[in-house]
Amino acid sequence: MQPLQLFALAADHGRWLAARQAVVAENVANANTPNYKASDLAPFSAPPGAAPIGLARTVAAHLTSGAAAGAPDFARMLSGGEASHSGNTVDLDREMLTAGEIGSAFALEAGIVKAFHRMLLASAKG
Amino acid sequence: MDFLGNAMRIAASGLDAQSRRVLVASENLANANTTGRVPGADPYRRQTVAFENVYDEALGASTVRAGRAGPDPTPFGMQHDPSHPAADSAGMVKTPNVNMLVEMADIREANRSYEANLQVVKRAREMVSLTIDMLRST
Repeated sequence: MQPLQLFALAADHGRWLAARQAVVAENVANANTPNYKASDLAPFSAPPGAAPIGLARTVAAHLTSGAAAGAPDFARMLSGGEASHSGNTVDLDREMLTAGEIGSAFALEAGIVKAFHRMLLASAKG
Repeated sequence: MDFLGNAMRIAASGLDAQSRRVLVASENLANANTTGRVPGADPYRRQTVAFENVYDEALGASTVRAGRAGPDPTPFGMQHDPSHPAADSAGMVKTPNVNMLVEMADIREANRSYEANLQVVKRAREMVSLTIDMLRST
């Protein structure tokens, strides 16, 4: 049976939430840009137990990824409503609601991690 | 990759773009009655702002930039005032193509977008402080 890996899962979920917040920031900043299409991240799915198989590199300079340095590795999807006259699909109210959701989900995440950390410390100290 | 820091920087570019938009709108409002000085001279021409999406390589995300799109090509208005220094032979003075209602509505919308960008900064900041809070022992 696989161990629960709670802290790793919480870290992944937290990272996904932070990336989603960055996407919300992009949408809000571009709320008046013509032809900008609002996007969102694909729903979070816990990564599989085994580490993904990647290409092995003997020297760090070889085999750099084609994507821009630091590009997020979460899938995006279009999330906008109907386009305005200028082709912009950002809905500010929806973005604010999403930001609120992300904030409370992150607070829950942090609370859970704190609680389990305390339990861990309690069991270790005895 | 520092997502929350990026979120704040992207929102900062949004704040900057909206401020520039208010700046241009207030310039237009201030010059809503600025006419020429010599007969037949052109008055103040309305300036517009264009928003464009700029992909920032360092952040790996799209920020926004507001640049001056240039003058509004709408024709000037005409007012009959023969005693004006800028009156032409028919006694007509060209007036600026600024519509005050349009500028005020623009400022209102810029205000709303500015607030939304500010909220994003606040949320991102809250999330960062929650993460730091995890370090606290209690």
